[in-house]
Amino acid sequence: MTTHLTQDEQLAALDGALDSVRMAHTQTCDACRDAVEELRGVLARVADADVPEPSPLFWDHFSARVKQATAVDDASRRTWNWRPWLAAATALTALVLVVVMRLPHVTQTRVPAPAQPADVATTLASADSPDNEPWSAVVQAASGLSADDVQSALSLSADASPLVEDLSPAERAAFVRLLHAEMERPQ
Amino acid sequence: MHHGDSTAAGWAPWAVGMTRPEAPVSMTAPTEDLRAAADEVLVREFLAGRREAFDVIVERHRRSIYQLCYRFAGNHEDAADLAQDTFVRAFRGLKNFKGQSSLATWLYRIGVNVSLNRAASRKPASEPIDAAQHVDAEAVSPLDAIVRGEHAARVRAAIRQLPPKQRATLILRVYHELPHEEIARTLGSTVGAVKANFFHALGNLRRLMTP
Repeated sequence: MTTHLTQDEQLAALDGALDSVRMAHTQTCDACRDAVEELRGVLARVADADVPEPSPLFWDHFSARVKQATAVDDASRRTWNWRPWLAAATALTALVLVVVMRLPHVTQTRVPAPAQPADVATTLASADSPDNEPWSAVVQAASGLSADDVQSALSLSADASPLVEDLSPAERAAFVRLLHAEMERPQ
Repeated sequence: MHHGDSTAAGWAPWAVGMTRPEAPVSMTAPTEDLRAAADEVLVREFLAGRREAFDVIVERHRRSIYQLCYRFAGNHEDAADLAQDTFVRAFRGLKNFKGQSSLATWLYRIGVNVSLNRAASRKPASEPIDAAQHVDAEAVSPLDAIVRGEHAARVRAAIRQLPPKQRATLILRVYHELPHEEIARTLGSTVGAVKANFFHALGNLRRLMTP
C-alpha cells in the first residue's frame, strides 16, 4: 500500500506535474483523488473570477495621473536635494559674518585705539576660545601684522572720506582718472 | 499573464475629470521605437534620461497592475490609487532594478507590497454592488452576465478574507501565473512556504465559498 499524496504532490497533480507512479495512486485511492478534484474545482472557480473592466477612458486618465504624480514627485525630490546645500551655505554665511563682526577694525570705529601697542595676533588669540577653528585661522592670518599696521590702514580709510567729499566735481573726475591710471600701472 | 494593453492609444492628458498639474509636465509622446522596445530596453532608455520610456512602461503594465491591486482593494477607486502608487514607487526605484527578474515581476512585487501595506492600515473594503453586477461581455445572456458577475464578486470577497501571504500567493499564482519560485522572490519567502500558503489558500477558499 502506498502513502497518500502530500500537499506538494496534490499541487503538482493540479499542475499536471506529478510523476506517473504517484499519479497512478490517485486511480486507486478515493481520498487522494477526491482531494485533488476538490482543489481543482476551487481553483477553477477562483480563476473564473475576473476583475470588472473599467471604462476605456480610464486608461488614458490613469496614465496622465501617473505622469503628473511622477513629475511632482521628481520636482519635490529635486527641491529636497538642494535644501541641505542651502542650509550649509546659510550656516557658512552666518559664520563669516560672525568672524567679520568680531574683527578689530569693526570695533575700532567705535572704540578708541588701545593705549599700549600690542601684537595683533596675541590680542586676537586672547579674545577668543582656542577651539574656535575659523577664529584660529583669522588669528593665524593676522600673525604677521602689528597693531600699528592695522591702525594706520584704518586711519587712512577713515581719514580719506571727508577729503574726497570736499572735492569739486571736476576735481573728483581728475582724481578718478589718476586712480585708474595708478591701478593700471604694472606692479 | 496580462501584458500589453489593447486600449492604449497615446496620451489624452486632460481627459474628463483630470486636473491640470501644478508642476510643468513634459508631454512628449513616446516614439514608435520605444513603443516597440522590450522592457529591458525601456528601462535602459529611461535611465539614460528618456522620460517618455517610463510612459511606455506604464502603458504596457497598467492593466495587470490595476487588476492586481483591484484584487486586494475590492473597488475601482482604491485599485486606481494603489496602481498609481505602485508606478510612482517604480519611477523612484527603477535605477535600482537589476533585471534579475522580469520588469513585470518587479512591478508585481511593488504592487503587492503597496497593497498589503495599505490593507494593513485599513479595514477591508466591501465591494460595491455595481461591481458585483458588472456585466460580462463574454456572457451569452444578460442573466448569465449577472450570475457570473455575482459569482466573481463572491470569489473576490472570499480572497480578500485570506491572510495576507495566502492572498498574495494565490493572486500571483492564479491570475498572474507566476511560478512558485518567482512568487517566493516577490514575497521574500521560500518555495516551500509559497506552496504551503497556496495549498492553505485553496482550502480556506473552499470553506469561505461554501454556502
